[in-house]
Amino acid sequence: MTAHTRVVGRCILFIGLTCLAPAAGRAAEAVRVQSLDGAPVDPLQLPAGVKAAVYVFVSVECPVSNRYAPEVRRLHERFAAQGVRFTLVYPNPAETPAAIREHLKAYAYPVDAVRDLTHALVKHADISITPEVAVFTHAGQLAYRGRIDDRYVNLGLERPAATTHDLADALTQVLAGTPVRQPRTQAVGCYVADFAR
Amino acid sequence: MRISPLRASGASLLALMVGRSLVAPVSAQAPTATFSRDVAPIIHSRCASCHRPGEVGPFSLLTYADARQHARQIADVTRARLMPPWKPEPGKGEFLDSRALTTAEIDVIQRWVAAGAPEGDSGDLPPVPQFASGWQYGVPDLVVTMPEPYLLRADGPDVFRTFVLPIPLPAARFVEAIEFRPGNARAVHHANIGIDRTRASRRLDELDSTPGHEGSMAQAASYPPGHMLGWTPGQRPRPSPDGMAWRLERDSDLVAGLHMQTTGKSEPVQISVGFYFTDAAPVRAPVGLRLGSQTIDIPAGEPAYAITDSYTLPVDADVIAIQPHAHNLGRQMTARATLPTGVTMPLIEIADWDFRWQDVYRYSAPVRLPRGAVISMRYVYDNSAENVRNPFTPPRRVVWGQNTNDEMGDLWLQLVPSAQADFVALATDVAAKMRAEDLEAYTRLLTQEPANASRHDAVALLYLQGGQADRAATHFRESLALAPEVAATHYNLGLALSAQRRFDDAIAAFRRAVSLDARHADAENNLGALLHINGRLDEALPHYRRALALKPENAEAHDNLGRILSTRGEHRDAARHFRAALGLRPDWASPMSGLAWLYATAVAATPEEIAEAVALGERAARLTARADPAVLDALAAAYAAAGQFDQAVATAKAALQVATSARLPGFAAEIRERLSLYEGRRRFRIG
Repeated sequence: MTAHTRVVGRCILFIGLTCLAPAAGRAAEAVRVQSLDGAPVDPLQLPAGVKAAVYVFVSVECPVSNRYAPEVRRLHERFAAQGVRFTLVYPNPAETPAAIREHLKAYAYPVDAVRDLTHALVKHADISITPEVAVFTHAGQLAYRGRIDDRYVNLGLERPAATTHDLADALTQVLAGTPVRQPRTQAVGCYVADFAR
Repeated sequence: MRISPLRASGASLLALMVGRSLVAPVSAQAPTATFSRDVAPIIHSRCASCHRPGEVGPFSLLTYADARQHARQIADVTRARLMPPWKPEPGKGEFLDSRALTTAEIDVIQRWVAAGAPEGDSGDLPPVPQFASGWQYGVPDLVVTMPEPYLLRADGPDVFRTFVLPIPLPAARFVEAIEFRPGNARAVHHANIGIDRTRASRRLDELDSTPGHEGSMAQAASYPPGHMLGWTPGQRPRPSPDGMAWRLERDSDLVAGLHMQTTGKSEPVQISVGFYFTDAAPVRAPVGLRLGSQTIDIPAGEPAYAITDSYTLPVDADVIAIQPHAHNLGRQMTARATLPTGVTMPLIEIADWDFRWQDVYRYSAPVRLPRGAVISMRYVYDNSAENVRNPFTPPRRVVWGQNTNDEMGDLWLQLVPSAQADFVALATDVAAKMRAEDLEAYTRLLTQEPANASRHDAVALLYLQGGQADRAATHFRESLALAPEVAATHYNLGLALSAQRRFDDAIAAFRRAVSLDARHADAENNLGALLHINGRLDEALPHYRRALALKPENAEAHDNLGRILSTRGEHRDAARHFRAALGLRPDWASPMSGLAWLYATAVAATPEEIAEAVALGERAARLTARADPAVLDALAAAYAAAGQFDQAVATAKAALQVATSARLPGFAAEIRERLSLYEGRRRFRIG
């Protein structure tokens, strides 16, 4: 994993060529999600100036996911000015745009949201849990996938405070152009597989 | 070998985390389980009381569509026995309202999820259970609600805050049950409930403008004697066992220590408590026994620190309920009873303590223990970095204390003596054990904070309760040297001085208390009582009247006032106050004998009043085990008034004997005079 990431890093830093998508074989598939208005969105196409994109997979009634809302807001505040774009992804098709808008408001999320009705992005980023995050480089490379931090050990066991801040560390490393030291971690929360399609 | 609890629980952790094959392997022959036929009955009976709209569970599981959305999660958390939350190990004590799933039920759920969580034939579906909306125990007789909500912050660590709700009650009542409604079920994780008859909790609440006060309950707020009140999610409200209602005094505050969990958004929390009253006075009284340690001191990094304690029952008793308590370092708890025969009985075992799911566990059937049985407990704590719940990174030394970052080790047992006559023996023995431990703990805290007045108060109160009034007075004086303007401390000093029979000093202390707090009804009453004892009846009278104006349900003040009015010949008013005292304390001998004396000696007493005097006098004599000379004197006068002179003579002789052995020569002389009247078949009359 480490070696692979280093190649990616060098690719961006020194060669500047278009990189291969990490999951070879899926590269050709177009990944599309939906805006809350129903418009198709290519989540891997980042506008100029966006150095990295963070997709935060959440669900309306998952308590662990909701408890992370303030931490997501703090990370957004800290990294937005450095060219990191945060987007919430709702992978549960049962959650309607109206319910999502209400959720965004209730938890004061200051970021855009998309729906992943077909789980295209879920599969592309190998997401299994809400809350779980995927960090893509400007080149569309999956630089980090996993938990936001290590506060939850499992659903029955929680630390008084996080001791590692995996997402913040990953973003810092991506922005610095260095390889992400822990590019994959295990998130704790609700299973995306439970969301009926 | 040292026990490493975290490693032990690591097994279930791995089962949850390894890879993504989340479903246990299932044998090929096992039939497919469907939601409608197999899973819905389990969910309806075990999960739905919390997991339904508007309840504590973060999502509903009532319907197939609901459950399907959480199928794998349900498989995981039931297999790991995280849900339904139920901590006691099976087979170690049989408890009411157990939420634990059986192995067979867990297996059904695993098979259902392994098969893709099919709905099955909706014709198999049992009807969705109907839950009463709102109060589960019925319409309460009285509801107290926070007047305004407390706004819980959106995130950060758990919040511990105590709310104080005045209980508007015109007169004391017997409480059969209470029901707690968290108001915001998502945010309130559990509640401890106490009653405060002082104003200590209110004063803490008033220190800031937001509802409630920080931290856990003040010392002045406590369980009703022998009862354990609290709430955890999913707990069904239960009445006190038969004949064991508890008495709620007028002018009490309900105090609820809440453990709240942040949810990601700011949450309004507005709790309510419903009271269910009964007219049936208690006929049995429980005793609360606490085992454990108040001197916990765990070195940083220690992975298996153990405490043990035991108690030998002085009488036959039933264990009705049990409540283990520790904070975040607690890992394992065991309690058992060892019978005099050597046979041991498990009382409870918790293999994976979780502070968040603490509860009061009530036995399905009382655990009968004979005199001489030894109740013992052992708790193990993990203060290493491997304990994920350790509040300190890196670990620090942790000592006993009530803040969440301190540690505790209590095991409460609700005991009922098999013979109610043994109640006093048991209660006294238990109180002595607990007081000695409290004294050690609070003396240690005082040593750490010698300039903290409330530390002196705590130690002084324990000395006072233990009958060491001189030591109590010393600490109250030290408290007053640090904080001179506190009415409650002057009042307590007055009590200590009264117990030392230093009446003039006590009068001065009570006077200071009422000058600092013009609404201190008990200080007014005690001031009156001390003046009364010194024969200063005219001075005492206005203090009693003021005490009653401030607090009309003060039975002592009614009785005291009745006595003064009786002496002054104001019979009608005296009778009114004795009756008021009896209304408040129906089993109290003092107003009974006061009333008996009044009717027995009044010139104008009717035959009905004289008959009542005999009945009251006999009852009072029974209640005081014929050991109170004033009660016997009143009964003798009543017999004489009723023309039963033989009984009058016998009773007066008994009164004389008790008065003489109690070294009350003046009173003995009075009784002797009356005795000679009865021997001459004459009654004693006043007025």
